[in-house]
Amino acid sequence: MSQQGSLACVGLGMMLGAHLSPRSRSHIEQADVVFALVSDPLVELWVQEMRPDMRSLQPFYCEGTSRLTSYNAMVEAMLAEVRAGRRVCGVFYGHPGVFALVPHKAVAGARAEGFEAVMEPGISAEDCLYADLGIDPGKYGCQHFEASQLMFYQRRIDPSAYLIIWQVGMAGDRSLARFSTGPAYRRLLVELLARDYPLAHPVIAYEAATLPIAAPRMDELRLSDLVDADLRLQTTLVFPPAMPMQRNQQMLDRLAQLDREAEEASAMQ
Amino acid sequence: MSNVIRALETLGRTPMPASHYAEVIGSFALDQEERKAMLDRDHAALNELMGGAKKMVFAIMAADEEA
Repeated sequence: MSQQGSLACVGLGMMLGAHLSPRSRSHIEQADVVFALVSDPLVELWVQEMRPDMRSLQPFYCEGTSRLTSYNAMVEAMLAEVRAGRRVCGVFYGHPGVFALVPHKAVAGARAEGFEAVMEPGISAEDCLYADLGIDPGKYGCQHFEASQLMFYQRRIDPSAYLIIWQVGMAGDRSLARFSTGPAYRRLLVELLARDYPLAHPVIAYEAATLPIAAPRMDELRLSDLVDADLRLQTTLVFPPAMPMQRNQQMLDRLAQLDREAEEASAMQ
Repeated sequence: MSNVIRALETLGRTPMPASHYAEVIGSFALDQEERKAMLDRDHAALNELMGGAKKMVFAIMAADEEA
């Protein structure tokens, strides 16, 4: 009887050696086939040391071809091995389910075909960001947007909350075929953000450390600096709130009314 | 496992004060160039020494799946 194929998409975390969970490591060690997509060449070598037969997903990228084509090919490469009855592990940097289309599509695709598929969480760049910058997303609330999506669609930014913008190095790329865009594209992003923030508003350009010998990037800029700033694929922008939270007095009054009614009902019992 | 990757994995697993860094690096079996790159915290030099990929692409999110 042939073995039933399965898929596990696991997160490596951001820093080599620091964030890999025992459960994810077991998936990597026990799989028949391991695919990997990571953000640092030394991290890729680390995975290769764990699994010398590891297959990098890097060759699927091709500048000039839509990344959606590459993503679909990555998913199909993993699912082909699952269909062949193998235990497949997809290893992704950070968290495999955060700003990551490929692992989600692969897990959903495997399940749709009747195979067992799981996702194991990892420590994402977002998690590192909160620790490195000392930000609690619960304090004022926190909005996250992919940079191009923020530009392509009508979104409502709340400047009393933190705003975090991902993949800013490719902001405005409609083709999905480039790995970076330039100052002209960022100028439009700045123009969009300037509707809610003053041009002198502080912005942090953040990059999580991927090696234990390195420090995270935490450069404080102004919104107007973003046009010409060094913003890479791995750079994330963090906007602190630009205004205090506004109390919703109407809702507070209605809640107070509910409290009074509950008290009166209680007193009558 | 190569000595550099083993050293990086150990460093990743073991938090330590910055003042102990040079001493800990000295305890790894590294050749002279590897040790210098580690002491200098020189990511690019380490990658060069290890023959790592020159360029990594790692975006796996599409802004617009209808694109």
